[in-house]
Parts: sequence; C-alpha cells; structure tokens
Amino acid sequence: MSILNKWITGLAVSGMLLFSGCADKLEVEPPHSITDKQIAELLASGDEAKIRIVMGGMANAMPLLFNNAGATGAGVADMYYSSQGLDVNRSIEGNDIILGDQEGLNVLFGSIEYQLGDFIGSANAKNANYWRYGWFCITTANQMLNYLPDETVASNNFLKECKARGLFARAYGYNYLMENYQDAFLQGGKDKLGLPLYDRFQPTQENKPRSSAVETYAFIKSDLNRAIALFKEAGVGYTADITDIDLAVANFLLARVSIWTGDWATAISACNEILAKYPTLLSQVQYGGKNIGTAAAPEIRPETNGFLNNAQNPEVILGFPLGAANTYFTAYMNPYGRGNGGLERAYKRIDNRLYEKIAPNDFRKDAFSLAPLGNYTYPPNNTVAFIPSYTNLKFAATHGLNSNNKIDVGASTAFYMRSSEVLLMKAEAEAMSPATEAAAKATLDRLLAARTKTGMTPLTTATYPAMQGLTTLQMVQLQTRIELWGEGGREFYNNKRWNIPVDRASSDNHVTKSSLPVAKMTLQIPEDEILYNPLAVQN
Amino acid sequence: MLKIITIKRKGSLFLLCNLFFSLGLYAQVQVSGKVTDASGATLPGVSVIVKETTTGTVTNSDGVFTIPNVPSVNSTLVFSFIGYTTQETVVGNRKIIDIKLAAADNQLSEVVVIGYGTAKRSTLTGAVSQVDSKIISVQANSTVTRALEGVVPGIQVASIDGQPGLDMGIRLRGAGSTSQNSSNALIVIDGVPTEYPNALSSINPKDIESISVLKDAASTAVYGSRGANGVLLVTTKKGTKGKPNISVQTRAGFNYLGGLRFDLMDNAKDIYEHAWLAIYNSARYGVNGGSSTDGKFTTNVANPNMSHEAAGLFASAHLFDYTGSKTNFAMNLLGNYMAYDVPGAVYTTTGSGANASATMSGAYLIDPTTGKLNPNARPLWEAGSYKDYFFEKMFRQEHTVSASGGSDKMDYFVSVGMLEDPSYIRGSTFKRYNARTNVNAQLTNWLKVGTNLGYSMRNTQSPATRFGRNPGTVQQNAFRWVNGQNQLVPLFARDLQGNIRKNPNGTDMVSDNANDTYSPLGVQPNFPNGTTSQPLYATNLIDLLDKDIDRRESHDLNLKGYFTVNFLKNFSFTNNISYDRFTEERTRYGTPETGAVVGIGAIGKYYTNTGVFNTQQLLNWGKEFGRHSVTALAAHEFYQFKSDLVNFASAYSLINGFTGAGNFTSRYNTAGAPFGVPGYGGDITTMDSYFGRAVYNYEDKYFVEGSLRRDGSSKFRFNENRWGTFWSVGGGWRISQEKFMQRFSDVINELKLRASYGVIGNQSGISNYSGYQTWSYGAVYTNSTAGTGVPATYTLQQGAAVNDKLTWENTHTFDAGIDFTLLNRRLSGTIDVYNKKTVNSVFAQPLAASMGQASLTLNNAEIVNRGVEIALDIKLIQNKNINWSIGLNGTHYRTILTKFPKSVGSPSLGGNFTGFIDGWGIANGGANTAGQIMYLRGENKDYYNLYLYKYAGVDQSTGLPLFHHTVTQQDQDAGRFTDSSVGDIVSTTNYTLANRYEMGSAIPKIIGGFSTSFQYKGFDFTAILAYQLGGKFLSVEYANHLYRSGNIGNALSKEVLGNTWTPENRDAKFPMAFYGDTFYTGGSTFGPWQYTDQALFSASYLNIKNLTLGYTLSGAILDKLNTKSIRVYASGDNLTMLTAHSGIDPRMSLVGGMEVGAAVYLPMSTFSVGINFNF
Repeated sequence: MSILNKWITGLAVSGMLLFSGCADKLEVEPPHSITDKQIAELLASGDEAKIRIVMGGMANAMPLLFNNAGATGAGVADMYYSSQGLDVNRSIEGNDIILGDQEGLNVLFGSIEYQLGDFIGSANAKNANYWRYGWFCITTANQMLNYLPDETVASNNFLKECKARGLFARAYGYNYLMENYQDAFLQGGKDKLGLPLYDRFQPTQENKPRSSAVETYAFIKSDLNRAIALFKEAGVGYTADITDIDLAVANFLLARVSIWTGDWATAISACNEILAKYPTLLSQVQYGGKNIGTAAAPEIRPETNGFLNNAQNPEVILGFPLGAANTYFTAYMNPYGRGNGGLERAYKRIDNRLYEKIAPNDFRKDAFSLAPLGNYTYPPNNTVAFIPSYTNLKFAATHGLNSNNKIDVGASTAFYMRSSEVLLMKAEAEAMSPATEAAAKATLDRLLAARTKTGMTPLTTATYPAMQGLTTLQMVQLQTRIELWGEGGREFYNNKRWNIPVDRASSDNHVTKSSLPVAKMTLQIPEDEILYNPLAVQN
Repeated sequence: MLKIITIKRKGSLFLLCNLFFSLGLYAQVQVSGKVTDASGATLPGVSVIVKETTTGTVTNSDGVFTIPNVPSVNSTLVFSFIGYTTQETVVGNRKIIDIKLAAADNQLSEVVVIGYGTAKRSTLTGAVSQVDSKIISVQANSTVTRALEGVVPGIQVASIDGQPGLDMGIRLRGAGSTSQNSSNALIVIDGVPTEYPNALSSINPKDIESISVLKDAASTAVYGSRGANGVLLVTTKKGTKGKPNISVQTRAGFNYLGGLRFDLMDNAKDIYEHAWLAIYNSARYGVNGGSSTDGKFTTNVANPNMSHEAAGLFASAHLFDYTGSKTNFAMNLLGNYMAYDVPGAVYTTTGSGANASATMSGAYLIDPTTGKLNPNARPLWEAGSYKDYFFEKMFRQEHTVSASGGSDKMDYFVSVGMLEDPSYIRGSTFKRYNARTNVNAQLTNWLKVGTNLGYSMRNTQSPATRFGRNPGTVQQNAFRWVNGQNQLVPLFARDLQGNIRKNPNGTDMVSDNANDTYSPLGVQPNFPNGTTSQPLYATNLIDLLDKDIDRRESHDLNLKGYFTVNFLKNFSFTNNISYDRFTEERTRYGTPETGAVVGIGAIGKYYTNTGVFNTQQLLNWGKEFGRHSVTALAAHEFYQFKSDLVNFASAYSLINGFTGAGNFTSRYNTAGAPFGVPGYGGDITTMDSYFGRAVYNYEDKYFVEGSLRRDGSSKFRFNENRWGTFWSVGGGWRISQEKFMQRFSDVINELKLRASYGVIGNQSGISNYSGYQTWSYGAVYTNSTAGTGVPATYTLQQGAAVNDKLTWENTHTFDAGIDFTLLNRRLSGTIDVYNKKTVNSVFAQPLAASMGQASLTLNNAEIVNRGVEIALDIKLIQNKNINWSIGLNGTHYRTILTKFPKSVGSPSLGGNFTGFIDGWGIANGGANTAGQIMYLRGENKDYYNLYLYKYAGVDQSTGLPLFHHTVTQQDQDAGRFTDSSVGDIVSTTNYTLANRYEMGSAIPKIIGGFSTSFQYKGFDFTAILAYQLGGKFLSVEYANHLYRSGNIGNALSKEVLGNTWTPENRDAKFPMAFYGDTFYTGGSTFGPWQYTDQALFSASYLNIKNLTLGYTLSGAILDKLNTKSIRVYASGDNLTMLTAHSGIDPRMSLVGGMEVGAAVYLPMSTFSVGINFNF
C-alpha cells in the first residue's frame, strides 16, 4: 500500500500544481468597450488616418452638444432631459407663452416654471440641470482639448479645425452658464462673479474659485476669437453643412456674447459677416404650419414648415437633419403632436397682449390661431381633445416629416441658430448708439419687409402699428419677441438682459397671472457646486 | 435558533418505519424494552436499529419496542429520536433493554456547514447560524430568499416588488460598504460562490438541506475578498445510508393580495364631496380669482372672496366645470365622470368641443349648503372598479417527488419538482420545473467520487412589461391604474342608465378612451353622449395585460463533480469542479391593438448566457495527539464568471399577437416600444485564490482557529493592487466541560465562549475592469429612423476619468459570542456582539460639476457596523403527547460613517454632506435617480440618516401648509423673520424657503423573528413571524400622489377625506384642499423628489409569515397503504402584515423607501393545503 500511497500522493500534488497558477487568467480587459489603452495605441501609431478617426470622432461630438439629450438624473419624460427641454422651460418663464388652458392639467410639464415658482434655488432640482449641461459642454470640449496642445496642432489644418471646435464648444458652455447663473452683464452683472475657469479636463485637479464676470467673458471671447482664427487658418469658412461648427456658428455666438456684454461694434461686425452669407429669409409659405385639410380634419405638413424642416429654412445656421435631430422641442410645442404640447394638453399658446401687437399684414400673426383649433383626434388612440384659442401653429404638424403616418408625428429636423436672430442682434447693437440708430431701423425694416404678407405693402418701422411711439430699442425688443417666440428660451434671457420683469396681470388669457422680477431670473449656484468645490461662493 | 425539528433525523425515523415491515427473515434473538426520557416519560416513535444492518423498529405509543430477529448477542442496538442524543448499547444476553434517552443539545452537537467543509457546532469559534430545512419547506415560496426573513439573527431581506420567482436581496449585519449594491452577502451554493443575481430562485426550496449563515471573521475570512458582508452557504440534500426513502409532497392553494392595500378614497360620494370642498375653498379663499395661491404663499381666508352660501352654490354649480377661473368654464379634473343620476338637474353646456362640460342648476349632486351628496342622487356605477378586476385569486400548486437512500459504499438523492406560483395580478405567471441528482460513492478505501447535478426551467411572466420590476408610472403598470388614477373612471364604459356598454360582438366594452362613458355633461351636437376625459392612459388595460408579453424562460444547470483521495495516514485531497450555466431567453412583445406600441406592434428578444466555472483543490489533514487534535486545510480555487447577452428588437407587425420573426420588419421602434436597441455585450471576471485554515482542539474544551486567504481578482487592472491577503483568528472555550462546572451541570448543560477577529475583503463595490478608462464610439447618420442609416460622421467620446488605484475594501471584524444550553436542555441560545469596521470603503467622492464628472471612486471612507444579536430556543413542553417549543431572535445594529474625505463636507452643513437615493440592484432597482438628496451624512452619523423637508402643520391664518425653515442672515437682510434670530427654526408657508432636517435613521432599532412549534399527538402547528421595530419608510406613493389633496383627478388617500383644514376644522391634519395644480398645498411635496416628512412613516412591522396546521396519520392505515407516513396540512403565508400605515411594506427598502418610488407591486399572500407521503 505504501507504494500506492506514494503514487496517490504524487498524483494529488500534481493535481494541485495542475490547477494552480491561473494568475495569467486575471488579465481581463473590458471585452466590449474601447479602452484608453487602445486609443493611446491608435494615437501613437503615427497613422494619419487613424489619428483623424480619433480626433475627428471627438471633434464631431462637439456640434452634438447643442442637440444634447440624456441629462443625468432626469427621466426621458422630463423637460430637464434635453437641451431643447431646458430651453422650453425657459421660454415658459416669460410673458409671451402660456402653458395649456387650465390649471391642473399641466402637473408634470413645466408647471412650476410656468407658474413662476421656485426654479432658481440652490437646492432646487429644477436648477441643477442647467448647471450640469453647461459644464457638460465645457468638459467634453476640454477632454478633446487635452489632446490638442498647440505643439501637437502645429500646422496641421485638420487638428486646427478640431481645436477650433473644442474652443467654440467651451465658449458656448461658459456663455450658457453666464446667461443663467449671473445677472446680465449690463444690468449689474459686470461687477459680480463669473465662473471657475478650467482649460483642461482632469477631475483630480485642484478646485478653482469663481473668477470675475469680466474675466469669464474675456475667457469666452478669447476662446471664440481663437476658434475663429483657427477656422480661418484651417480653411474652414462658411460651410454649406448646417450640422458643423463653422465661421457662421462661431460668429453667431460671438455676436450673442457681444450684445450681452455691450460690445456693440463686435456684434455688428460678426452679424454682418454672417448676414453676407445668409441673405435669404423665410418666406410666408415656409413660416409655420399651414392647414391644407379642413378645420374639422386638419392636415398640416411639416415638409413645408421651415421650423420643422431645415430644407425649407434658408435661415438655418446650425441645425440637424431628420433622425439626428432631437424632437423633444416639437413634442412640447406641436399642438397636434403626441407629446405634452399636444395630446397631453400642455398647449403652447401666445399671450393675447403680444398677439395683438402683431400687425394684421404681418404673416407671423398666422403662426397663431385666434380661434380655437377645436376638437382634434390624436394618434395613436384616436383620443379627442380640444385645442384652445391662441395656440401656436408655428411648430404645428399633423404628420411626421416625410411620413404619411400620423403616428410618426413629431419627426422633424431641428435648428439652433438662424439668421433672423442675427438680424435682430445686429439691429439691437445698432440701436444702442444714436449714430447707428437709423441703421438699426433699416435692419429691422429688412426683417419686416420679409414678414409682410404677400401682395401687401412691406411693413416698416414707420408703419408697423404697434411700434409707433417706441424707441428703436423697444422696436427691436418687440420684433425679437415676435420673431423668436418659443425659440431657445430667448425671451427669458432677453428679458433678463433688458431688465424687463414678467408681469402677466394684464393678460387676458394667461392661466397663471404671476409676476417675476428680474432679480429672480438669476439662478443660484447649485448646492452640489457649493458643497463640493470649497472655493465656490454663492451669488 | 429557530430550530423546530431536525428533518434529517426524521428521515431516519421513516426509514426505520419501513424496515419494521420487513422483519422476520433473519430472526435469531428477540429483544424488547421501553424507552423513556430523563424524567421517565415514555417515548413513542423512537427508532431502534441493529447497527450496520437494516434490521430495526420504532417504539409504540407506550414507548415499547420489540425486535424479534437481532442477529446475535454481539449486535449493537442504536436508539435515536428527534431531539435526543443517540444511544448505542450491546445486546449481550439481555432480552429486555430499557433505555433512558438524554435530551440532545441540538445547538452544540449538530454538524454545520462552514466554508469549504463542515464542523461540529461545539467546536466552532465563529458566528454561524443554521437555518433548518423545516423552516424553509413549511413556507410556500418560489425562492428560499423569501423564507429567510426573521429566521436567524442579523439577516435582512428586501425586495422592491412582489413578483414571484425573483430573489430578494440579502443583507447580513448591516451595510458594510457605502452603497447598498456593494453590501451584498455572498451566496455560495453547494460550495460554489455565485454572482448570478437570481440564483436561489432556480433551486427548489424542498431540495435544500440547510443554510448556514456565516457572519464573523472566523467563519467568513476563508472567503477572502468576498466575505466581508457575510456568507450564505446553501447546501442541497443528499442521501443517507439505508433503504430507499421515497417522498411525495404536494401542495395546492391560491395566491391573493392580502392586507397590504392602500386605503384609497374610492367611494364616488366621498370623491365628489372632496372635490366640492376643493372648489369651494378655491372660490372662496383662492387668490387672484383663481384656485392658485399665485406664488404669494397666502390665501384669502381672512377676507373671503365670497360668502359661504355663494361659494357653496358656486362649487355645486361648477363641480364639473371649474378649472381655476370664475368666468371661463370647461371640463375639469373630474373628467365629467358622473356616477349618479340627479333628478331635476339641469346641465348647461360650458366650454367647447371635447373639453366641454356643464354648469349644474335646478338640482345639484352636492348640496350647496352642506357640501354633502344630494340624497336623491341615484348611483349609476361603483367607483374604484379596477382593483376587483385586476387583483385575482390565482391557483398555486407545488409538487415534489424525491428518493434517497444509500449503502456503505454509496448514497443518492434524486428529486423532481414543479411549482406554479402566479401572483395575484392578471397576467403574472411563475412556473418552475426542476430536477436534482446527488450521488456519492466510496469506490475504495482511498477514493470517493461524487456528483451533484441540478436543472431547472423557470418561466416568468411579469405583468408590468415595460420595466419588469419596480414598474413605476407607466401604462403597463396595473398598480398605477388601480392605486393612482381617478377612481371615478369605470373600467367598463357606461351608458345613460349606468349599464355596461357592449361591443358589437356582445362583450363588455372597456372604457379605454375619452368619451366612452355616457355623461350628462358636455352634451352638444358632436358629443350627444357628453364628453368624458381620457382614462389615465388611452389603453385597454385588460387587453394589454392579456396580450403584451414580458416572459423570461430560463434554463439553469448546476453541474458539480469531485473526487477525494485519502492518502498517507491523515491526508485527504479533494478536487471539485463545477460549472453553473444560466440561460435566459426573454421575450417582450407589445401588441399593436393598445398600449405603448399601439398601431405599431413590437418585439424584443434578449438572450443571456451566464457561465460560472469553479475549481477547487483542497488538501485536508487531521491528526489527534492524545487530548490534542489538529485539522488543517490548504487549498487553491479558481473562479471565472462569464456572461454574454444579445438583444434584438424589431417592430411594425402585420398579424396581431404573432411573435414569429416573420411578422416584423427589420426596423425597431424606440419611441413607442421601449425594448431597447439591438446590441450585444457581456462580462468576464476571474479570481485566483490560495487559502488555508488550521484548527486546534484541546479535549473538546479549548479551540483555536486561524485562516488565511490570498485572492487575485481580474477586476483590478494592475498587478500591484490585484492581490489581497485576508485572515482571521478565533478562539473558543467550552466552559461547561471544565471540572468546576460539573456541579452546575443540571442547570448549565453547555456553555461556550468564543471570540474572533480578522480582516476580510469586499470587492462588490468595484466595477469590472475598474482601472480602464473607456470610450464611447458612435455615429451620426445621414438619414435614419431607428435601425437603419449610413453614418455621416463618427463620434468618439472619452468616458469618465477612473481611479486605477482602487482596491478592495477591508473590513476589520470583531465578534464575541456565547452559546449556552440551560435547564436540562430546555433553554438554549446564542448571544453575539460584533464590530465591523470597513477601513477603506469605496466612496464615490462627489465632485463639483465644474470638475467634469459627478464623482470619483476612492477607497477613502470608514464605515462601522456595531450590533448585538440574540437567539433563543425554548422547549416549553416535552412529554409523551405534547411538544411545544419557541424560537425567537432579535438584532440591534447601527451603521455609522466614521470617516470620509474632508473635502466632501460642507461648512454650510456643519461639515456634513448629503447622500443621494441609493437603489439596490440585487433587490432590483428602485429609483436610483442621481442627485436626489435623501440623507445627511457626516462623521459618526448614522449612514442612513434621513434628510427631508419638514411639514410643520397647517397655518391657521391661511390654511396653507407650513414648512420648517432655519433663519439665516440672508433672511434678516431681506427683512424676513425679523422677530427671530439667525439659526432659529421657524415655520413658513413659503415653500421656497423650506429647509431639510435630519429625520433620524431609516434603519430599524430591532429586527428579528419569532417561531413556535406545537405538537399534540398527530397534530402539529407551526407559526413563523418576523418583525421590525423602529426605522423609517418614506412612501413616495403617499407623498407624491395620495396626499396631494387638490389633485382630485388622481386617487387620494381616504385619510385626506374630512381631514383637510377649513376655518371650521382647524385641527385637521392636512392643509386646506385647493382645486388643481397647487401641488405644494398638500404639504407632502413641492416638486419632483422634494418630499416632506408628511408621508414618512415608521418602518416597524409584524409579519405573520406562515401558519401551518398539520396532522400526521399513524396506525393501521399506514400499514394498509404500505406507507411510512402521511401528513396533511393547511398553511397560510404572508397572512398579515401589520405596519404603521396602510399600503406600505417596509420590506421593500432597508434604507428609507424613497428609492422604492410610487406605483409599487405589493407582495402576495398564499393559502394552501398539502399532503406529504413517505414510502
């Protein structure tokens, strides 16, 4: 037996050895994710084509920041989920848009914003998503810019374009935050704090304190000017592609930042550059939804509506095509849609006070229906609901873009910058100086002429009924409210900039006749930032 | 310990019963005698067997036995009986052998399963609790996890919903890490660790022999980097030597929704009266002509807008058409649902089209003066009709046939079973078919081999087809409808007379859209039957639950084999190999007829394969040197977890209900069909481990034990932080064995002290491939609807920065315990105190958003769990006819954060920081909404310290809710609260100033269970209860829905009725009810996740988990049936749940409830009868 036992012992020990030493199996790389190791190998390969894919892939993500969805902590149904939803929330915090037609039907969709409840508090969840979105733009840009120091970019035009995109995206993020988190520059914000300025992505770096507002805007403008210079060096001018960041997009933001900070000359020159490339404005047939059916059975096609179909909008500077475009905005704004702006009855309507200021011969008046649109049978369940008076047709469609199926309603393109706003920014900058006030009126006249109904005498600042007795700046303000109704939350930001409080008391059709002083339009720095950045201070 | 009866011994009893019938063939010597207990009472049913033969019998009702055929005078008789120490005696020349059996100490003498082996309980130095198979099998559960609630000290189980067939999450001795997901107990099935999230539901609870719960360092350190949160060792049954024992167990009954229900206002009269009051209040006391308080946080209570009479008349006239305006009227939140016929009422149409309603005059539904229902009103239909239809009694059945037995060389256990266990909701199913074979063979004196094979097929249909568990507020969730929607909406459409309308084919017409039900309101040319609002969703819920599919078909294989070689003198070497394979095919289908994908029809197929490979080489050595004995183990283990998944989605079907691939186009639809996008993926993790253990035992009196393990894990990218070493030492002193204790031996039968200390790891908080920063790659398409398109450009984005220095958590665990058996073994028990300190707990250090990401995971927190556990077994009565025992246990523990990075604390929070909702994946999800504050955390604070806004009652001048606020300098500067000082807590109606306050710990003060077993002759009765005292549970359902008194278009709590403030009812609990969207006026919330403590309830509960009454037949009938035993019984499970408030189940959350969300799936109750045969 002892011999056998020895054999068995040997067998056992060999067995242990056999199954031991599996340490090499501990090297497990993520089986389904691209890792930094693989990216580093591509970049180190010296292969130009591969480097272009990596850097180009990062650079291609930059324009998409303006068409963003997927906010942390917000559900898909939230208006905080997408940048479009954030904008709509801002839009309904003003005088000109009414949410729905009765209380109690808008519990979920922006009701607190519309009722002018608390949306600025530091601990308020309605605040933090704006903060996160702005920083998301900055972070995404910095992640790419980390890879693009000047010595790497050198004279490589492709990398110059990449870097320009990153600088633009960073400037966009900082400007967005300044629009929300500080008083308007010309309304006292100049002497207040700005933001912590980070030019690289590294979560382990030291926290920074808030710089001054002046320093922040200097940083933004520096990024924009550098981006514009790089685009020019790289030979990227005014591209036909509306999905990319080009000189038009960069100048648009430069103009916006300039009028915010009172740099009127820069604003005018930036606007002029763009307008030279975007001479055509929307026509009457392209402006808003047109019912080609009957009142009882409306058929409003998005194909012909420039606001839902970029192919019919010569003004679009930055936008996205069907499929790539987010359609949250349409869901909130289209009274015939399946989203909350339609089937769920949070209709977006115009304040009668603004409606009445639109000239009868101004075809923009047709973008709203004074009479109730009446009963409409909504897809997909044939639910009948009643669309009330003053509802917008600007963003109305009964079908999806390129679809005969009503279930697809909501499918559309999206736009984020258009040339009418450029005209208005230019007019505003011009209106700020007596020397250029006449030019401002001329600029406005150009818009008004383009908005006059076919066959009618072109409207002018001199003939537009509601503009009589107004200052030139007030004219610009009125036209901006009419032209940009519902777009990009601009009324809110402009009210803040122009020091115009919200006061709905004299409105006939507002559901909630609340008021909001301008001081309440500046959001407090969110609690998380105060908590986790020891150098952060509250406004 | 909740031990009642040891089934193993019962098994041998039945075996011998059988043998009794085959006596006679080998008779040589006849022996008889009487068996009594220590007190002299006769013991019937004691098995008496001739050692190493199959010859034997049992004692009769007088304790007398006779064996006519004992082989020889040298034979040894073995007397064994449940609860008594087995005795052996050589026959010799005796013909009469009377035996006194000593009561056994089933605490200390039993053999328990420990990590990589077994041990006698008396020699343990660690804290190990054993769950008896009787406790498991008596309960009607689809998964053994549900049976564990309250059965041993220190264990907690939780599940976010009540769907059968899904495991509950298991927590031992509190959360040892900083998130729920990284605090899970390790589950080990037949020696193999499993990380499959639903592994225990694949096992028939009847196949489980025992569950050992390992809690301290001495018992868990041998599991190294995975042991720190405790270990649950599940051991399946195997055969024992003897003739075949065939068992047939069958059980049938029904599942139903028990007492766990929301107490809703579901009587039409109440709903209308409450709506009237809300409109009355809005008209009389509202601000600015509307119902809203208009952002001014005040009302016109002091200066009413109109008189009581005028307001009453207004509310009665405009009950259905007040929408917030006193001049414009249209359909309001009641949706024109008029469940009464009011004789004499005149309806004057207001509003337009589909929104039209009517102003009432002539006669009113609600009396303008009293606000009460018009007594002449004739009811047309009952409100609250959904629950009766969708909550059904569902047939449950369960059958298990098993056979076991063995010889000196071999043993076997074979079992097959089926279970059908649907929940009470229409559309829910759970079915399981399973088989298990466990065979062991001692081939030679040096070689033993064995195999344990299990298979199960599970079929689960979850009624909430969108998200599966915790379905939330979606149309597929029946609970949202039943407990959330306007209770006036009838399930079936009604005609003018209130009768159910019929479809053209004669069936009842479901009210699944606006205007389906007749209404006298909104009658106009286009709507001759009046207008009514859309139900909660324009969906035919009956069709949806019948036709939509969310079915999971799972095939689970557990394959294990081993050989053990004994060699040299004291060595044995065992090689185990196991492979567990879990294959799940999930089919989701949305019908085009109704629901989320109406008009489209969509399919989702999801295939997941999970394989767990494990191999262990165990070298055991044991030797006795006189009074000393030593055992040692040296081992190696390799573990690999590998999963693969494939998702497929397609849409636009042609034929309704047909789920074949040919019925769908190649495009998928993400908007209407939330079935995800096609894709594939999977994970691999591996571990390589070396470990050992040594135990020294001196005279069964002193014990010393040590273990050491070194683990390498693939979760860590770099070799330098991949390997960790874990260890423990433990000692035990069996004081009762000391000479000086012998004089107390009548009182103190057993007494042991033990203590252990060790450092154990936890890698649950570490994600797979933790050191790798990943990138996301995608494309922007030229032209695309989902599923097609050519990329125009590609996108590449860097993921979050990672900490590649992450390593496992180390938990320093101290445990001291005492095990005792007293008073002639009538009282036994265990007391343990412990201190678990996790020193480098993974902590998602929050970062400012300006740093580019929300957090960075670091090993930089310390969390301590301290607690005391007590378990007692009391044998109250033990005599010939009656056996009555009681088991009870209780645990108290606290989870305290003792260290966190200083930068996290905020000066404005006194150096503390806020913690967010912490969903628990293994208990399946719940909301994990990032950034939503739920806790205030700080050094030496309870980790689950709730932090909510505080409702301060009703403002007596306005009727509005008051909220607590701490006065700041900013307030004073703004001229607010100038009567108070900075730091004072005041109350205000201005909710925008509300502050959060600490609400105390969500963790209960005491958790535990209670059980009793009573036997009288053939009758047996068992009760198993679980309880929890203290702790808190926030009900999102109440906070966000049922307490929002102005939200009269939704379901409201009955508690609100008559309990809202009015100038005449100033003591009311709830603020004044205002019509409509004045969301904060309810006092429970003022926005998403902004909850006050109004719906924060005590988490205390008492659950009657199981009551069983059985009868075991005896005597001649068994002979006639050639059967060893027959037992019949009736049993109720989850019979009553006593909680602080209706509709809440604190077991859904261990940490405060906010993550549970609303529209919850409450667990079911079961009543069943059964019969067990043993042949």
